[in-house]
Amino acid sequence: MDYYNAAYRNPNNQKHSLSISGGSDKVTYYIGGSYFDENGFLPQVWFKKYNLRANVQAKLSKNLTVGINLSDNYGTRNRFNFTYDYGSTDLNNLWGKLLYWNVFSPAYIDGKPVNPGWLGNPVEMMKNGGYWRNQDQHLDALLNLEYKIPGVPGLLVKASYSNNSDNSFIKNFAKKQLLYNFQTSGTNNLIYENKVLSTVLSGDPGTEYIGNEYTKTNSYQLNGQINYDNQFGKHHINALAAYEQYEYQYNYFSMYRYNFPLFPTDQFFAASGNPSDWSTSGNESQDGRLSYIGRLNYDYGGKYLFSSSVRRDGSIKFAPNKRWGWFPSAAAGWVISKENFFQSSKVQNFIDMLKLRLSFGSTGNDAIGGWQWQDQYNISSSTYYMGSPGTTVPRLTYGGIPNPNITWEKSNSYNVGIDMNFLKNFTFTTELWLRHTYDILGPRILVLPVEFGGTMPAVNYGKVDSKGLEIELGYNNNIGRDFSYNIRGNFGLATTKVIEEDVASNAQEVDNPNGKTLNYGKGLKATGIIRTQSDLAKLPSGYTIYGTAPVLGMMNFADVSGPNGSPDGKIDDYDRVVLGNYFGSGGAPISYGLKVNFQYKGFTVDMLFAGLAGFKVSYNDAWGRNFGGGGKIPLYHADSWSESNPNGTTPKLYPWGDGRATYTYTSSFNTYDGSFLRMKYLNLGYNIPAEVMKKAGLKGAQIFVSGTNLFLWSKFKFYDPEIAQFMSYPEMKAFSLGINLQF
Amino acid sequence: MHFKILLNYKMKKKIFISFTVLSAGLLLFSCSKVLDKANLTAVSPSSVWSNADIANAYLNNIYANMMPGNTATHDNASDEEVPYQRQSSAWIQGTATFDSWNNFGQYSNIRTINILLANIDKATFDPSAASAIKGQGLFWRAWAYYSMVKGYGGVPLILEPQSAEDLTTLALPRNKTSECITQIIKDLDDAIALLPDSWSGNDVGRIDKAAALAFKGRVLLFFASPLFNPSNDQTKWQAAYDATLAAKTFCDAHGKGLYPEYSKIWDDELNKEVIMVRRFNYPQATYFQGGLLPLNWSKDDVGYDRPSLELVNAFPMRDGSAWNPATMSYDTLFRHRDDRFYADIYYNGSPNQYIAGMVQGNTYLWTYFDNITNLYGNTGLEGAHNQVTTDPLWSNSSFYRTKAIDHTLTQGTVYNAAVDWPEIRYAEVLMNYGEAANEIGKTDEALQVLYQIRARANILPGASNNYGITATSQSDIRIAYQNERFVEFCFEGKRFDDLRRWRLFGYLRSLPQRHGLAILLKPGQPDVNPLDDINTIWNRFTSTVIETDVKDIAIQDQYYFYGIPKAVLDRNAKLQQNKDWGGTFDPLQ
Repeated sequence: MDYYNAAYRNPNNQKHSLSISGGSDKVTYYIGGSYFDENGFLPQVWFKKYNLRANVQAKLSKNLTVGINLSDNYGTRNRFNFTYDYGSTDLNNLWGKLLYWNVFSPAYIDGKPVNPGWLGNPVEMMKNGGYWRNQDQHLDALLNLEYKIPGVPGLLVKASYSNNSDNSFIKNFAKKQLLYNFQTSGTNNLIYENKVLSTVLSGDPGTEYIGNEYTKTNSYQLNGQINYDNQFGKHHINALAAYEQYEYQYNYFSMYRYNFPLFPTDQFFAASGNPSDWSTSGNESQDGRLSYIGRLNYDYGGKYLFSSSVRRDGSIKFAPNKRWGWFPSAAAGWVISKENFFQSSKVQNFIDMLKLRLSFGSTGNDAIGGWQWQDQYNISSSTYYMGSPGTTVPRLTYGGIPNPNITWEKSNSYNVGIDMNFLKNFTFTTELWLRHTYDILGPRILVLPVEFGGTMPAVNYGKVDSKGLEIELGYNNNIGRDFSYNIRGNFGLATTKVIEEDVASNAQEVDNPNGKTLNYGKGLKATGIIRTQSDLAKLPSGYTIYGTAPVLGMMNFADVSGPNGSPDGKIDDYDRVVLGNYFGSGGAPISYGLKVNFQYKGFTVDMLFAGLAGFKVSYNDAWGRNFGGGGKIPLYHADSWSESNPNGTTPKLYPWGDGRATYTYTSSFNTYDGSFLRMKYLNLGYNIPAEVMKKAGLKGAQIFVSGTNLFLWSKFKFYDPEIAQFMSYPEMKAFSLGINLQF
Repeated sequence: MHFKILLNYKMKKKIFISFTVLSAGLLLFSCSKVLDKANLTAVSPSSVWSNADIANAYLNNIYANMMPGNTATHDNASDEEVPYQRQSSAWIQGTATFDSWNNFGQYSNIRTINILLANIDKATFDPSAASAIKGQGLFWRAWAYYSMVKGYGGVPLILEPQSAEDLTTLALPRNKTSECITQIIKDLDDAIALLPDSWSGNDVGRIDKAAALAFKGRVLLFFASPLFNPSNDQTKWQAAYDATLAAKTFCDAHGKGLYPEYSKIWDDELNKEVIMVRRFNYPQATYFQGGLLPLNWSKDDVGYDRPSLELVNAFPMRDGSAWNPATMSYDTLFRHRDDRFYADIYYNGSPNQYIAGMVQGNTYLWTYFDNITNLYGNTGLEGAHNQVTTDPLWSNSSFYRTKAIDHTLTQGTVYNAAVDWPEIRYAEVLMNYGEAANEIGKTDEALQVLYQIRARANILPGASNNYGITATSQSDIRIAYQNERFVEFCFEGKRFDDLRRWRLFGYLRSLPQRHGLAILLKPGQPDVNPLDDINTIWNRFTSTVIETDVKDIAIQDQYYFYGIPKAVLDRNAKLQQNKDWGGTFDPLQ
């Protein structure tokens, strides 16, 4: 853990904010600012942000209200420049290197960074290898206007215009670090001594550079709305017609200079003046959206509720005659507890409020890359080099078969729910939902033979159904005047089923996604380690596991099938089976949680527990369950089979690439139940009493202490079952302390 | 706080009217302009085929995807190199399956070329430019089919860009090998007719007649060899001879020939030996060579192309005789070898400072060990490497490849290799011709070629003027050709295909492992100085022959033809698997 400890810094963050608000019946105002400063647990990782906003709403006359909302924020993100992780969001390469690498070489001897060879010193690289800094300024201006039409009570028109601009500036600098070669000794030359032999510049970065990148995005949104809201006796009507228009422009350029002739420093003047060391690029894109919305709400006496709406959306991703989609929705509710028969029945003693609701909604999705409806060629950003004297020549690629018929992906959801308050203190909600998504956009690759040599364009093809159940039960009460508490538990169950998805025409059943859940997992079925000679003798002659003959200590699998559909005495891809219907925490079918809140005089306690269950996780370590090249062996293999340990729980270890390492294949052996329960947060707060406040001239004050991600209970102990992969930046436990003052 | 808002009726009315107008305008403003955006990166199809430059750009993309570059492998399953840390490939271990080699990706290149060929006949620009483009397209289609057919046997022949309208018509069965070969040769003949003799200026590097003729010779030679010609049908050898002779004659008439200095073939760009080349240059077009260099002066990858003792021993001596392990000592293996040995192999203490890191460090590379703990450990040779030049993750054979290495590379710049890669050079044209000549009985021509190749390698003619070649019978000369190809074209991606086409897996199994040398400093001897002359201090070391594979070579005869991967078979029910892999297709038809 030496590298990790050498790199670790205590992470911390702080946030301060101040706001003023007030007004009269003609004008109301809000002005606020905040400052946020965060430091990560690695060197040179920090984030600062300043935020300023102001909101003024003025009632110019009895019927006219105008307002302006301005927000300006400016944030700076800084991180080190690590060649292998450049651009990654979860730093998985770095994290792996800190945990695993080069167990014999310390990061620093006597304050000097050690050169462990070709690897480079990752800690020194983080501290002194340059930085990547992003300064982002974001401006939002929102103008809004509301006018009540005189003479028609309940009718008003609203308009709003919002302009957003974002300027993001990145400065990127990378330089080599000075490393020291120390004397090594020992039979394998792995013991480092405090004797400097020479110095050397690090291999990374290969070429030092300084660069600037600038991204400018501008967008606006214009909304217009007519709203009618009125009550006629017991009838209440609310009708709305709205128009929404959005445009977006994106512009990017970058310029880099490589090589510093004299010394590296983070300024352009020091970089090479030779044009062949310069690199520039840029690109531009646009987007637009247009929508028409209508909505009608009606309720009778607050007892019967009805709501319906329709959207008409247009997207630029589709051909002009296919770009519009209609998306209607409707909902109805019935507050049974307001009915006369209910109020006069005995049930009314237990149940305080009972509401039944139904809804139907449809939404659209256009999330594919643009222009697939056009037949086009594209100039490639790469070139080819030829000629004498040599020169770069441009390349042109064919954009792919167009599909002029692509249109919106649609999703219909159906919902039925019951809300109930009973025995005064209980609240209960349950909901049953069903979603049918169809015309799912996606390329049809597998359905074509490989010899076709290309891919089909995105087609509205796929269909997926999902359905689920949600239950929430809450209880609140108080004991005496000072103590109150509130508990709420929730439980959810969801499942998906793929009705139609792209599949190879001759595929095996295990590879056919149709009829299975959206994230099912497949692999081999493990039958155990071949522990003794008699186990080995039981195997048929010519038995191979992915081409390797079996030996003692190897993990063995079930021979389920072969090229002819029946077992063939060989283990290969034909023997894969479905290992589980839900793989990965993202697809967990069962979710549950508990929220608890206590209040006693000025003290409050808030706790949230949340968990997922019913899914499996495939154990995967730094190199796909392989290892070698100088890294530590994961704890997973601690009890491996060997001649002296024939009852080991994991198979015999082999170096990287050895065919006998059959534990590397995804199988039921390395698949585990990933269910977990996490204490998401615990907040303790104290409201300083009014008498104390008055003396200090404050209107109110609260102190709070909180912790997030405090505990995790799970059967899967190797790593957090919720992170993407073994080497992802881990989930953090955080403790914070704060104070809130009103004056 | 109070704001006094003074608005009289007129102002209110103005506000109201202007607002109504504004909102009415908004609502009626069905700004469909919002959705009329332009694709800022597209070129319309009509401009492509009416403009020679744009059509050429489409062809350039094919070059970028298909022109081969500098080769480097971890273990190419031949006797050319030792595996890195005993990680012998699945082919060597005999554990390869039909999924181990998938070359069906060539079909996306074929589709790109078919789109070109379908459109080029309708092009509206200068016909001579259009036919040159068509010729190059036909060459590359032949190249794509050859690379698949030489591995699998016949594959489905698709000569037009298939339309995706009716999915049921897309699945096609495999054509017979003979049909595929006929198509490949037809494409090449058509290309040869259309291509110019040579290119100049910005077009140097494109396929010309010489390259197409040379490639046709390579194709026919491969299909005349024992793998596809088990009955030794002489008509196939005759066709190979005619094609390779035509290539040689054309090259001779157009200034191509053997470049006098072998070691400079890759350093001197576009010399007379180069026939088909991929050009590179810093900074526009570079590639990574880190895996080929000793890790002391490299990074990010390691262990590629480490010469085996089998290869080192195959290089002839300066006088033309062969290396004889019975009478010659490995301690002085570097003395009196031919030019190719010094140009291709780096040995312990070789004065060839072929890496910039050596020049900067004022040192040679010393591969000897202070102390060896295990000659055949888990990662091969284990022990304490000398400290004069540390070399983590060292070569288990103690040799390194020096052919076609960019001499300017340092540890930081290993991604910037820019050595041009001649895929076809005159030596291959000559050797192909000589091999075919021998097979149809033209012994004299075959021998003359061997003499020329050896003369260029600075081997002495000797008293009998035969450069050390003592073979006279057809079968002996055949073996001489196999050995000569081994050393002339080492690390040019040819050895494994040669072993396949000559059906020599039995030879590999007889080795029975690839060997290396373990060089140990004799006890009591002092460490060397970085620039010591190996010629004077060679007796400080002992050299031991060691085995370098994880187990004895078990390459199976089944591997002469590759199996079609499951992922490809899954997508086309009409595709038959090769009969050696459990299917019904016979690649010899």
